[in-house]
Amino acid sequence: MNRTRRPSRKKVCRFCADRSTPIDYKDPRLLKYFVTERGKIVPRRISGNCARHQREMAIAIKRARHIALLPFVAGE
Amino acid sequence: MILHEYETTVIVHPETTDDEMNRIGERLLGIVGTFQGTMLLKEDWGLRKLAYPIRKQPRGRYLYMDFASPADCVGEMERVLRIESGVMRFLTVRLGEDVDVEALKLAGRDKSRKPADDGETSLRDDREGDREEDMEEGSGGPPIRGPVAPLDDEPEEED
Repeated sequence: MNRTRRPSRKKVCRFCADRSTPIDYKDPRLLKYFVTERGKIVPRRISGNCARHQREMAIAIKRARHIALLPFVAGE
Repeated sequence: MILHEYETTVIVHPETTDDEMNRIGERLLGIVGTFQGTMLLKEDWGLRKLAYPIRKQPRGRYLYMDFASPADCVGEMERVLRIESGVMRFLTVRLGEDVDVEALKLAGRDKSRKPADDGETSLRDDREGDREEDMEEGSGGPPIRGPVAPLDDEPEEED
């Protein structure tokens, strides 16, 4: 088990840091970094997204699921 | 007339013939035409693996369109898509409101939007380590069921 708490490192929202990266539901490669292996949406406290971008991300993931680019439930 | 920009992704049954695909494409194009809309981009993403089966099919053919049209047009398109038996799923998203078609054409809206092709599974271990680095090196991974989650400081299920 790897349960050591690292000293809190400041996470900066990826999409605020790099404004050129659009959150696009058609880009599963990008989106998959924000879902767990199970397919669940990664919470902000883990992903480090700001509120706005997390919101956009959540919508993008849901759209991607609808057109089967991302799973609703992955693994078994 | 107020035109909005929309994009529609359609998933068609994998056994659909090319002729059939073209027919559906033409039909949608026709609808956009009757509503005085403009097709900005029509793209065939080909046969892709689905993240989960739809109608028991593990794969589907994707058709993608970007167009500018009045709002009514979407309703009609979706009505037709629901009737088309080969169509398994579709999604329409509004990209812009009250757009200027000529400006969009000039803006190079005809670039391909095809999602990067997925290898089936690639073996990567990027559990630990810097998150930002993870993201960069990951740009070659599969879109589906990748090793992704930064789980180390979160209990999965809490009761």
